Amino acid sequence: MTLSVIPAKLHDVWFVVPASAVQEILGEQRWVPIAGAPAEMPGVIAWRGRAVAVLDLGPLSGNAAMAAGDSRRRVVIVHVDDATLALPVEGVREVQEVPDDAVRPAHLTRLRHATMEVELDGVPMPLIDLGDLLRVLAPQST
Amino acid sequence: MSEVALMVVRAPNFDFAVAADRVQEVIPLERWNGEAALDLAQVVGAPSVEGAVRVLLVTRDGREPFAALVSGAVTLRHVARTELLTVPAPLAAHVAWLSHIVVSDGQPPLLVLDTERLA
Repeated sequence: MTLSVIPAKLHDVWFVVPASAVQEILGEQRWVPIAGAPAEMPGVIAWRGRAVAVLDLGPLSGNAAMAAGDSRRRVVIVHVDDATLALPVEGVREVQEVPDDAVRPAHLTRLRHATMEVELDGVPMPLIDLGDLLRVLAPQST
Repeated sequence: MSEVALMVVRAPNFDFAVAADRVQEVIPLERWNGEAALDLAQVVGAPSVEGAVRVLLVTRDGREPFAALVSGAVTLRHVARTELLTVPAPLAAHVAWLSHIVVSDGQPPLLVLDTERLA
């Protein structure tokens, strides 16, 4: 058995998200900042006729949060639980198949909401637990 | 009704609005002698802009109207209901003041305030 993942890069760090959660990968998108929203979820983008919350992984990885007017070259749209989220990132690679036994507890990587990691081309990458992340950021919506 | 009328306030990077049918009266600030008005630009995180300062008297269900302060250009805009995007559930609890979002090509994003939750 294998796990399909999509590697994405932010601030020169690669991480992976389960490919099954990915709905679409977009180019750079204009987003709308919303005052009072948490730094990790600073605004929305319009996608397929609805507003989708932006999930900025920057603050979760110890980096600066996106500010109004900032943008990134790619936006990964993911569906987790009943929510759709937009992850702005700096790069995305094609889907990778990872053998189940290569998905291991995070040891070489450290990222909040990533308790597992995979190794691709010799590079360890945290596997983000999007459900856990959403439950922490928006417990009332899950 | 396929459209909703909005009273729109222009801000530097986006617009914000309240439903026009909720606005009972628009009063120049110098003629306002009621309670301290809620500054809507502060609520939506917009910088203050130059221009006429007005007080909007906004009605609410089962309560007294409240006074909202706005600066600069205020215009009336009709928006199709289908353009009113619902606030995503993960964000809704963090921004109770926000009712809907309008994103149209060639126009600044428009944030529609929920007047029932403002004051």
